[in-house]
Amino acid sequence: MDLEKESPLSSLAFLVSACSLAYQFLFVRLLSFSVQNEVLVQSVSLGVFLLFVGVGMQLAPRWLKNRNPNQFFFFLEFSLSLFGASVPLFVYGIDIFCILFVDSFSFLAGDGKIFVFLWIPAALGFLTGFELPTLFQLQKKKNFLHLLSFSYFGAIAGALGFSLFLFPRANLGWIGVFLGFLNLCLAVVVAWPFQKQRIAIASMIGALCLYLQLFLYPEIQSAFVKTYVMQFRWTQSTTLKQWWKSLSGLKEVERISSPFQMIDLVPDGFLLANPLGRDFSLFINGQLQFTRDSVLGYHESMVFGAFNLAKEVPARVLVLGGGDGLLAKQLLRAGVEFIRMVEIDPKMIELAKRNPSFLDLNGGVFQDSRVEVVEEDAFVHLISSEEKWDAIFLDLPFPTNYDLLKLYSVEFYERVRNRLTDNGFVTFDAPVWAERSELKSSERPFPQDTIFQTLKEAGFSTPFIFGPKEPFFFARKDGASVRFSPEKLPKNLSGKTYYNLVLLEDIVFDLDGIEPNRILKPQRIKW
Amino acid sequence: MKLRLLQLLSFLVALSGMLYELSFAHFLSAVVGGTLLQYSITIGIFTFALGVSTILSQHLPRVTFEWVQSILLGTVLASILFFHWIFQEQQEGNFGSWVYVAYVPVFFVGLLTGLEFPILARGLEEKETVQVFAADYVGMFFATLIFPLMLLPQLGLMGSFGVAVGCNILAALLWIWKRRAL
Repeated sequence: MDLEKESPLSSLAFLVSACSLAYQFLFVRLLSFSVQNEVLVQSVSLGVFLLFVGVGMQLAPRWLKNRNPNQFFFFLEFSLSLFGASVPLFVYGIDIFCILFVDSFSFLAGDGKIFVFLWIPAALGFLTGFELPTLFQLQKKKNFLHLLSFSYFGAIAGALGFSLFLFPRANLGWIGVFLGFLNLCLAVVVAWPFQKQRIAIASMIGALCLYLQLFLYPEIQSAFVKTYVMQFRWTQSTTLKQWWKSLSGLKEVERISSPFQMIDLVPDGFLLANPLGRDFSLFINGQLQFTRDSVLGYHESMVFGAFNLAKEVPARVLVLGGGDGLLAKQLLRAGVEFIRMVEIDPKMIELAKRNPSFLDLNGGVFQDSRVEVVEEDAFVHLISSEEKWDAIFLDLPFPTNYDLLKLYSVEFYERVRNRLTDNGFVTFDAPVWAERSELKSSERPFPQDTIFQTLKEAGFSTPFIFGPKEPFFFARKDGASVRFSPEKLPKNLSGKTYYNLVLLEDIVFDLDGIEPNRILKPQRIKW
Repeated sequence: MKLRLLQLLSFLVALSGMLYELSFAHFLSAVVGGTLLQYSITIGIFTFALGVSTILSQHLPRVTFEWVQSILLGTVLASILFFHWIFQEQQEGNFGSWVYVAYVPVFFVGLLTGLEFPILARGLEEKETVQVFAADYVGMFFATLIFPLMLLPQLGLMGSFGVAVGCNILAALLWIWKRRAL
């Protein structure tokens, strides 16, 4: 390529910057699965990336002295291509390490975990910082700002190209390798005219490494998923070999990534050691949703507990979330006439309709004429529909990120309240629960306090909580007081359910100074 | 003294510029949805705007710092009002593609932020430029730390906007007060 001309150099500046930004967003995507505060991940890693771009740019003139810029550029892009493509391997690798070695109560277990990963955007930024000064050396008519502007334009291409085009279409390992190849090609283009033989050998080796990554990625992903599902902990007696051996004895966990969430399906017979082999369970965003054995107690107490408190079986029920169909099964069993299920994720519905283990648990409720399924965001559905419901059941994922936190906000509960008939009620699982005695008062607000305050702010004057084992919130629109009538409970419920149907009246909520969770002033609800 | 002052100014404008963008990104994820996507798009538009302003600044030799600062403040205040209105309307169920108009302020604030640095660096030697530029990076980095760790959890979105506007006004006042020294 004739680098004496402006346009090839500008396109180079554009492309290399697009690649770097795309690696950066690839990293952010991966990390936000394990550090679930997306805003923190996105913001801090961007800051570190930019800071090190600055450092690289400052050092570049000194490092470039007496060096051939073409060669240096090849070296730079070669390293970026291999490093960038390995980002998924690094993230999963460190994640495995954290599960094995980091104590779950330490600073590094929560949001603090991000610090273990920050060297990745730092390294990406550092290498990226050298790119422009090197291209500047290659430029004949010295115009740094011209190059800089093209590199900025490349940034938007990288950001949008990754988020809107690559991410929805391919898995993250493949995207890393794709970007790596692109980067490697750019490296070869610049250095080719100078050292044909060496460049050919180096790029061949590089390409081979990238090719190998395609096979390594599924391996390490599977190792990671198994390690976290098992919550493997390192003990003094284990060795790396034993850990690896115990992983290979496990069945594969099916990992399905949708635009909305990460779904992990643990198959029956996952553990060879489990004689019953009834291991089928579902994780969303790394949080356990249910296991085959917990299903009954959970959904039964939610449905029959709420109906018992309400003193009647509502005719029309709206379920927000709950795409697994397990709640709908219990609702039909209790005698509800019509259910509308609003689920955002088509992949979840697909699983619940087709997967044999799911069908076994939900009894194929999707075929039932009393069940209507709507693929829509719960919030949007509440705002755009006009119908009133006798009961609204919220079966939503834990509020692990700001997007989900919106579904636990004053604004959301206000909409829920508006969609209820006059003596209708809402019930939902208390997403996180802190035993008061286990917490220091410095750790306030407790998650349940924030939710309680939020419900009150939204107009539910007297919310209740029931379930010593599995706590649920329950609130009537008219604010009436409720009691359990154990004599009216059906006789065919499971033992766990009976045990769970107790109002937790002794909980004294200390709501002084507790702020409700609002969309524009979010309060994180966490342990 | 002069260099320190320029560094401080550069730090402040970079801090407020980045805080604006992060707040915009968070607002967009509240109304459009998809936190990661909205942050990526905002960062993309922001850097694109910085690129445009890099070219633009070569053709605008006479634009002054106070000029840019006042337009920036005006734009931000107008967009906060606009955002409030969009949010209210959306809560009432008035949907439409005009929600995406909220990306426009992202571009303009990026553009104006990008114009600030070349003005501050006017007439400086290369070594000094580099030092002022470094303060710029540190300011951005500082913003990306305090936004998720302190501002958003403690003050909420509108509070974060407030802090950003505060930094902006502080920079403007500092400039007016110390202009003679520069």
